[in-house]
Amino acid sequence: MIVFKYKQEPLGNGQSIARPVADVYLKTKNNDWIEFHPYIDSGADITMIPLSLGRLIGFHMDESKVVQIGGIRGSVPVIYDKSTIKIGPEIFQARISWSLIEDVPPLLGRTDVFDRFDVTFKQRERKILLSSHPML
Amino acid sequence: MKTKRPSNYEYFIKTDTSAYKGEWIAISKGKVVAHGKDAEKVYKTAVKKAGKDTVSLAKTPDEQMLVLKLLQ
Repeated sequence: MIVFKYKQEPLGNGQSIARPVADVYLKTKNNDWIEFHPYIDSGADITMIPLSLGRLIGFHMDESKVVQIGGIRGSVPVIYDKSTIKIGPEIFQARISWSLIEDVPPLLGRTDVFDRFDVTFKQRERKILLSSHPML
Repeated sequence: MKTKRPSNYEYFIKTDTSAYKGEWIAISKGKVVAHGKDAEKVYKTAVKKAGKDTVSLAKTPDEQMLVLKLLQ
């Protein structure tokens, strides 16, 4: 069982809110591991990383692969790619949407990740539990 | 008595990082060792200071960054 926590963050109006945060490693094209801390977003279809993090792990721009994906604030240009990711002891391939703009949050989304783990949000306890799926 | 240092993740969870609003921060050994708008530059700066296997990255939200935000 992997346990992640919520981080209390200010809203800018004197109040704050707790948001679920993961501890995830991405494998670069040079076979290094980069540890980062994305938000866990059960509403995101796919994991998303901002422009500069994609560059850091070795993603390359190919204009023919750019697509627009929609969100609440409008559309974001992305390139779909794959990366090896590590969550706890589990290492696996996950599809990632690489945002071609910087002003997006890094998000751990459902595709490949929620297929691999049963994810339980225990908001009152400020915890998120990830259990490896028994079939994998 | 030695006190166990929190992991980079624990440090990020517990620390108020709002001073770095809208920026990437690099964490190593219980402190922020680099920050800025570009993850690649921040990471490379941090690795020079702290070593490759000790650094993690996080992005601190600015007020407009998250898609769904609680408005009160």
